[in-house]
Amino acid sequence: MQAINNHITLRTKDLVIGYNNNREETPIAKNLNIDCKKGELIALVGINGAGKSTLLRTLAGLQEPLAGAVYINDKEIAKVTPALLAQQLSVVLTNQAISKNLTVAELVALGRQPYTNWLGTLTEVDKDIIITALKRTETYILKDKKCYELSDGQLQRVLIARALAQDTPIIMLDEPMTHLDLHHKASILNLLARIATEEGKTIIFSTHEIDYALTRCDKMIVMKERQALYDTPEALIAQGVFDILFPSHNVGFDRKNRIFFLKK
Amino acid sequence: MNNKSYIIPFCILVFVLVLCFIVNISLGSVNIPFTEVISGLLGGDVSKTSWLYIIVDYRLPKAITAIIAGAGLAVSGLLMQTLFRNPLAGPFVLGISSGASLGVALYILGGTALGLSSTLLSGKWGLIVSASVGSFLVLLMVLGVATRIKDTMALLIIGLMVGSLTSAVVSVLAYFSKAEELQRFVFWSFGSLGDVSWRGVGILSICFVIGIMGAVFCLKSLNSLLLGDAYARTIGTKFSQSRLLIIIATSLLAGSITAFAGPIAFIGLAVPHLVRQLIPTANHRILLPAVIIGGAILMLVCDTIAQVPYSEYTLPINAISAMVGAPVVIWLLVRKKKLLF
Repeated sequence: MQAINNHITLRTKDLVIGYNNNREETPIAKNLNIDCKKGELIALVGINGAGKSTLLRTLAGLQEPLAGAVYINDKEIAKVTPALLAQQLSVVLTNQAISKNLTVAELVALGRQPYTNWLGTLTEVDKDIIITALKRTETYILKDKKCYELSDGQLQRVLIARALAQDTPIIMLDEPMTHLDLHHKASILNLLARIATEEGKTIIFSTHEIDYALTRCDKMIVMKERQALYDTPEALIAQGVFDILFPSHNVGFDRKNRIFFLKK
Repeated sequence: MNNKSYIIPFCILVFVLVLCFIVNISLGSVNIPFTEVISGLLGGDVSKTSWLYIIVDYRLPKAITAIIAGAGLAVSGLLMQTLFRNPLAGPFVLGISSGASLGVALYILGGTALGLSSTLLSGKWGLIVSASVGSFLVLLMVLGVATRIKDTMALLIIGLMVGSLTSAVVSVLAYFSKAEELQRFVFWSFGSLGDVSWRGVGILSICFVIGIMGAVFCLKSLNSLLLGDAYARTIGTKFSQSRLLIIIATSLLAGSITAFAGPIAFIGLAVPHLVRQLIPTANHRILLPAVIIGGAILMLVCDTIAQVPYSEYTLPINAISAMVGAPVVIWLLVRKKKLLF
């Protein structure tokens, strides 16, 4: 059991992320070495513009790294076909122009695409997995609703259900808690924590809710000044990472209570 | 998930299609009794040979052309609305009809304006070939851009720009051409379903079948595109490949129809929206066949109206399709308050 729990699912080697416009490279962060284990809930935090989204996009294979590589189960993702990668890694993205004309069931069913035939025919197994994903995220009662009828919190759950239906060992989420109230933020975070521990999935999500992440996550990736620090919340607090994460004249960090506070 | 609930709407659609087909063939400028029409269609005796000629060599190919044109344009519209995730996209957003217009304008108007001779190919086939060449060249340009550009929205804007560019060239050509040439060009731009011979129907059918097959091969990726480009990639869609196939299928459908029947507006934009009202799903496996039938129905209705039964007039099909389609879309928008792709 110990051996399985220590299994590294996702790892990066000397990764450099950034943009490549007209052959001019603009690196955002360098020398990223991260290894994520099975069943870990990992928060990706940093100030605006630190490169959280870029890192997620690079880890998900949506963007090419400037140097280095991302490995999933020791296979470099750049050398894996999109169809095979889709069986290893699913993503939940915000602000995507998804068709609001889709019903909840149709949207979640699209998570089965990596497994279906050329016409996308759903088998009984696929349908069972879709129903399980809907129930897991408490969206089963919404299944016949159109996406334009959903609230932000409901839509976020449905998108997570879609990722669950994709049945991958790794799930990445880009700011899954934005635009949600406190109650819905907590419910999403608890849902992610449950999925990680109960189903042994590696979950990486970017967020601005550092306080919540500190209380619930196994590991954190803190992006600051072109670097990424990767460790447990306790170790990062001890290193004083959060004390200087934000410019100190505005925001302070209370190590004992693990919360940020505003300065006057 | 449950496909069974769509059986009834499909039965209604097929029934309406058959009805529209029979009505379309029964009505025309010459009053032929209904029983004689049915008899002529089934290969029986018709009391006048001229009636048989009208039914078999004029009304029947026209009705089939209407079905192919309606279905093909509606499918093109559906493909473009999904690819560009834009409810206002239609078959011609990539500049296919503008390309055809330019080809035909050069063929008809170029004689005077550029001092070229347009006697190489005469009559109908000259129009068809020049329209095909025109839309094919525009297509090559768009494909060339599509392979270089990752952003799908940029592609949409480029299609619109190409449209503006070609219509500008057409205007310049029109300015320098003779009145009768201009009239011929304007008549082409009205669109016409009645000028297609059986041979034309044959060629059109082949293009239609290949185009629809292309769309069928895209079904899975079309559904994935409903989530947006980035999501589509993360569920295993080979994005560039699918996009290319969608563009080629659309061009083949819309291009061949424009070549034979002229630029018929509106059907491609309106039918997918009408069908979504009847069958509330975003799944292309259900939408595609429904849109094929729906397009055919709307085109047959438009053609029947354009014929102005029992009169000697034939109104421009392009005008009728907009006259029928526009109020319906406006009504939908007012009622539903939103138009989704």
